[in-house]
Amino acid sequence: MLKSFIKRPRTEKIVLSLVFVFFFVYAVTIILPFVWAFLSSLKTDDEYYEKVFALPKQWLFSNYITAFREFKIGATSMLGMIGNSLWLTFAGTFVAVMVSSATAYIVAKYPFWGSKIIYRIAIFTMIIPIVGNLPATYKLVMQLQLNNPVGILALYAGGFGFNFIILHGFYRSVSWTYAEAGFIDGASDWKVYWRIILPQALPAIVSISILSCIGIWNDYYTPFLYLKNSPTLALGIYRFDIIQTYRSNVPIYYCAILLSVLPILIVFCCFQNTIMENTVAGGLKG
Amino acid sequence: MSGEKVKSNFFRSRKIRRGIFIGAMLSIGLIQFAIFWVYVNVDSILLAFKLTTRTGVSWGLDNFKRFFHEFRMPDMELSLALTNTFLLFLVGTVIGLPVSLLFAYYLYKKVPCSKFFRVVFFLPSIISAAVLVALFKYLLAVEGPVNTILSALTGRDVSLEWLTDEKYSMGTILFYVFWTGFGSNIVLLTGAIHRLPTDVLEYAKLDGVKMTRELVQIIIPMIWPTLSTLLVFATAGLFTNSGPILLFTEGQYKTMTIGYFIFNEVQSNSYEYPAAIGLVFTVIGFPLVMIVKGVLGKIFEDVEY
Repeated sequence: MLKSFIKRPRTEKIVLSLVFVFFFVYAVTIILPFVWAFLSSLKTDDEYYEKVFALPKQWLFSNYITAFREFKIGATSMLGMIGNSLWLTFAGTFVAVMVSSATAYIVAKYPFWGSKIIYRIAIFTMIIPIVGNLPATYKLVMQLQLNNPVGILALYAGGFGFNFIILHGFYRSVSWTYAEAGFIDGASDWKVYWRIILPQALPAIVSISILSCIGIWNDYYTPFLYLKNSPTLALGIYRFDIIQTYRSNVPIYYCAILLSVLPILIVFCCFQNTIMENTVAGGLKG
Repeated sequence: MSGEKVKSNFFRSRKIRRGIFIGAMLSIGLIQFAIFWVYVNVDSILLAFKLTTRTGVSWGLDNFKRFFHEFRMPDMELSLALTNTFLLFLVGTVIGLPVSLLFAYYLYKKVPCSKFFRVVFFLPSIISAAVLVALFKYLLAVEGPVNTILSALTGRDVSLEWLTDEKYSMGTILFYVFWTGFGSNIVLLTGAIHRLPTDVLEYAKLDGVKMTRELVQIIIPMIWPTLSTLLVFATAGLFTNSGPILLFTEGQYKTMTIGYFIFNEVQSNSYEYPAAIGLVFTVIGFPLVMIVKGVLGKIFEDVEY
């Protein structure tokens, strides 16, 4: 990397060096708050307020255990919130991906009178800027009493969003030869889908699942609106901040914040390339 | 029984079974679409024209009249909300996207440590906004690190209320949106640049093309489809995007946006008025998106490579 840098013309080198300095500063502004939060999470409450920048006198890793006891929203403890987050993340992703996969597969591989219309409508609904459907959606969710961790999955079970577009592109390019061989051997459509197509689609499905998991884990909006009684971790972090003003133990709060980021960082480290490459795919067509 | 009849029966039942398969596979998606898109949007329109009062339900333009009336009143938050919504778009997209493009270009040009930077720059877009905003708020607390640093630098006691002082609050939020908003755009754009055929760029280099020209005359036209897609989606989200207002200020201190205004109305169990506001901005937004789409499509004809 350095070698190719040295070989360049001088003006380019100057520009790139300046850019490097700028990038470095920007990167520091992203990383430093987390380092600061980590250090703060190990302090006592008094210490936190007295000396903002000092290293903790004693590195109180026990704060993290205290966080599990004291970080509460209503009756929901930290463990409860983690449980709610995990449920919503995995169930929501499963529902979203399975429904999109089914619709995308049919539209891509079973051309019938409606498939072109469905595809057009899917694209159209993504571009049309509907602003005010929150009131009607909220009313409907409340009327149907879907404002609980199971019912809310209905909101995630959409079959014609981004996941549909990506999987449609994938299924259209997937080879049909194995499927035909399956049909000749007498396999039903179901069997071909489950046994032949889905295993081939697994890499694509895994990568959109990871993106969907990250999105749902981080989402505070849907839980805020519909899951007031079973807060997720992201919602808890928002709500605790407001309760904070009169029950302050800030280091505990930092513990919760960092614990909520940890799974995301682990997933990101494991699937870094998958995530980045598929963010690319997500914005590719349109 | 003749062989042909068996055969046609076989095919007919196969056709029926296939029809069932198609129907079943599409069913959940279509039902969900029918309820949460078709029904919801029809109901939105109906709500917009409906007015429920203590005396009963009436239909008409009352919600719209109220909106245009309140929009003109200087002490109401609606005109401010519209300004703020445009400011968010200006900072996040009009300024944010070109800056992301510059970031992506220099990452592609292999600034030292570009792999590391790419990962770090992406982090804000995979970490929950709830977390980012919480940290940001604590950094900006009256006795927090930022004010402490400023005090040390200026030698005076700086205790600015970045988020609760009307003078600064919207500016602070805009800065946050700008500063944390590059991530996914950078990844999208570096991806698009990396997929360009290397020989075109190699030829340009042999011809002695400078960086600015390479960026403006070669790279931008070639990744135009990605850029225009991003812009079209950003425009489509213009009025819906409430910004991180809920997390920061809940619309206080002059930080209201259209999206948050609607959200806030719904939170206080008012449905008809926000539905009307939504409809107004959908009607404004739809041609806007189409114009942006048309104009962007015309700037560069499809580049073939």
